[in-house]
Amino acid sequence: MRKVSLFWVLLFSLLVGCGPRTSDSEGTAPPSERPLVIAAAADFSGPNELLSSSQLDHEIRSNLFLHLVQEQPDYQDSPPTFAPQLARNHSWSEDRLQLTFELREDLVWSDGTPITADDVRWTWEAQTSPEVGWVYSFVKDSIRDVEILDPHTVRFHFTRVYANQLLDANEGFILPKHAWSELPWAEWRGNAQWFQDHLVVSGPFTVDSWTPQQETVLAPNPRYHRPERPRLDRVVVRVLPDESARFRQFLSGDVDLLRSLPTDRLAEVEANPELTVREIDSRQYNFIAWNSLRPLFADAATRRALTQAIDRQALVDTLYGGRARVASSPFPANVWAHDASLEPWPYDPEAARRAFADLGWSDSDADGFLDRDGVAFSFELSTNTGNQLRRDALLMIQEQLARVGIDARPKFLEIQALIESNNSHEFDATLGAWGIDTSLDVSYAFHSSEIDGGANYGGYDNPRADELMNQISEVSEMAEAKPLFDELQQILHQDQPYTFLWEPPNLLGLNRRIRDAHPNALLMLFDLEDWSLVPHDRNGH
Amino acid sequence: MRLELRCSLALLLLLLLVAVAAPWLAPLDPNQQVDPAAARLLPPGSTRYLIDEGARTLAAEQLSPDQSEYLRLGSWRSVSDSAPQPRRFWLGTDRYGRDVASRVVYGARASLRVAVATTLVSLVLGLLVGGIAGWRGGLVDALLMRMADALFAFPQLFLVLAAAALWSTGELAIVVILGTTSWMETARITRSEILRIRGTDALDAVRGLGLSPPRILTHHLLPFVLPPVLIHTALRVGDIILIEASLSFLGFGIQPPNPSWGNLIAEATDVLDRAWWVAVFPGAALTLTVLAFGLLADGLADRLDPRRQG
Repeated sequence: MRKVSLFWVLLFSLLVGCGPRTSDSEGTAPPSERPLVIAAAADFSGPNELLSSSQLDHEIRSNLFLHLVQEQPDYQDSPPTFAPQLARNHSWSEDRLQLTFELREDLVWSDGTPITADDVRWTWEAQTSPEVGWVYSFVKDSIRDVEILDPHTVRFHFTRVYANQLLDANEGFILPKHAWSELPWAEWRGNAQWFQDHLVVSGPFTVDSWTPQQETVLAPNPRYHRPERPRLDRVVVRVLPDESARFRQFLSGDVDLLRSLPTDRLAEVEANPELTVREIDSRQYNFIAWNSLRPLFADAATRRALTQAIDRQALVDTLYGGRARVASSPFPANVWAHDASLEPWPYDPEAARRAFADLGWSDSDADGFLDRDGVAFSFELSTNTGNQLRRDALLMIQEQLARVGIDARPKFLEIQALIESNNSHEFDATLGAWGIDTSLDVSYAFHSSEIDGGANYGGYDNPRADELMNQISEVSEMAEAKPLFDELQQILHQDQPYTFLWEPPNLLGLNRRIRDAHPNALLMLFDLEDWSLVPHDRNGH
Repeated sequence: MRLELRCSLALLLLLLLVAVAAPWLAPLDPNQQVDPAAARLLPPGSTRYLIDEGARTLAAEQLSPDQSEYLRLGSWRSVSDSAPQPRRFWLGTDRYGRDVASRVVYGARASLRVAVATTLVSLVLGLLVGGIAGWRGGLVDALLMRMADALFAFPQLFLVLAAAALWSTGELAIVVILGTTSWMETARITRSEILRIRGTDALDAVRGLGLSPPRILTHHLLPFVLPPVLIHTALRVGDIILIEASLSFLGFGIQPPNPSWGNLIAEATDVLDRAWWVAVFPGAALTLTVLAFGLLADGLADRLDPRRQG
């Protein structure tokens, strides 16, 4: 799940739908004439997660491969729990430097080969191989070795004790050594099709066919360890790049499940008796990062005043029909580490005006905008192109800031250009979004060591915040870090390196024919193996 | 004066008046977002009651008979701070709760300003280049005309987009970019008229009187050159407005939140199926203006072109 966090929410572009088909919510589905269709904005990039990753890829692969243990979506009140998956249990050594997994002995790959400790060790070798170049290999940095104790027992040796050891050991799907070790690691990159041609899986589904830029068809894995699952006999992931086309198909019933419903069109969905809207919790937040390396935003008092000049509730009401939450910290309110005592800065343009006046800003040339020492309070507020919601947000914020005499000029950049300008600190202010993962590591965005080469775009530098983030990374039990998380949030609240805008829900549109689906913030297709569809009526509806 | 000329002048005068009097004619600040959560995409003729609640101005759908409560976004609340002010949105609102009527009126300013300024720039450039080429002839003529041919060879929108991408956006930039890429036809017309007149006995006689070249140019050439050039220019104004609209549509023109007819139409594309009024009213204004300049060109041709006077 960790890899999801480092993507701009723009990249979470999976839009999902499914066609009507026959099934029985209580038992195994009879064959249906119409497969479940998942509509996606982008193409599946292949079954090997070490070569590429996107939210869509992760959703599909989560149904092809298993982890040692499965993270559960119960992170609201305490650190999440893990359910057995490939491993039936795990145990720690006294010094917590060794973590031992006992694998289930009855599990086999889809070609009948047993899943063993050898697969686990080989997966770790591949994940850490420089030749493979997995972008998330850093999560394995503290794992010294993976030792095979017997065919169904494997032990992870750590170099240090810290809270996320289980999370890091579990990161990444266990891959099939017997099938994929035939190709030398040095030849993996650029060879995604080879892994499809040599695909064996451990999860409920396998890839029946993969037609680039058209569709990926999933079919049940006949050797899945739950013989009565999956219930669906076919799932089609169809590439539909155009957003309005996806929405139209959803409305017409050709697509039955749609991720990221456009909020200004919810009424159309709700008016259709065959469709329903489901609000899924997400662990994301949108923000404006102020570039504190530039004199205009160097002062925390300026950044606080800017936050007070932005009517975030109006943004939430307009952009999400009131369904989002005003954000106050990088830990969304639904995550256990969130400091509930933290009150978002109120919308108070008068207080903002006073603060700017105290900082020496006034409209000396009567042009409607503040200036100081002959310099206008004017800056560019950038975001990516192709995202109507962000465009709306930017234009609303522009108007709100203009009310207190600030000239914020919207700037829309292609996503790669935006990332480059953010990474090189060549921006004034930028609107974006982060997803927070289970590790709750926010140092990539706020630690001073991440200014050069990291994602601390605004160059935020607070020694106490650095110290707290360091301490959090070293605690042995994550729950013990709650006071540290709270103090960190208080500091960020006062310093406002970001104006935390809103915490969006994930609005899923579902056709009512879908049954037993429990999408969550971790995965939309979390329990796809349990999904079913109600049968068609006589008219084929 | 012919009817079409009179109609076009009346229409243009009206448009000019609207543009000049925009601050008095527009019901609201064109950039003011009136409670977008509750007042976006309201159809033409909708009325909302504006209520100041703390730092916010809310748009209520309905008031209770004693005006102590208001209905907004499906729920009734008590009026606390100020008396509700009714506001009718004659042409509806856009996706940010902005008054479409005010934006169309203010959009006239930007669109006409860009059109007139651009036309002047291209007119001056075209007269200069065409005049020099036609008067001097020879190598100068060849060089200037090949330059015009080279610019002609590129589609104008491509040239304009390339220049806008490399340079900057904003009104002045648009005027300069459009003006410097749309003078070639004027130059060609000017040159051909001068070439035609240069070979006549009348011009030889004027030269024989010993008049200076500037005086010959202004008193004896321009009166012949201007009619066809002006007719062409009047036709071009409409084109310029359309190109500015295209640029705004592509994000290179007048920058948000400032309205031009082009960016009003551009912003309406996503809601066209739900809120026709956001595109139709600026579109109608644009059409009317282009039509007015077309009529003007036709009227001028009838009046100035001796061949069409029969």
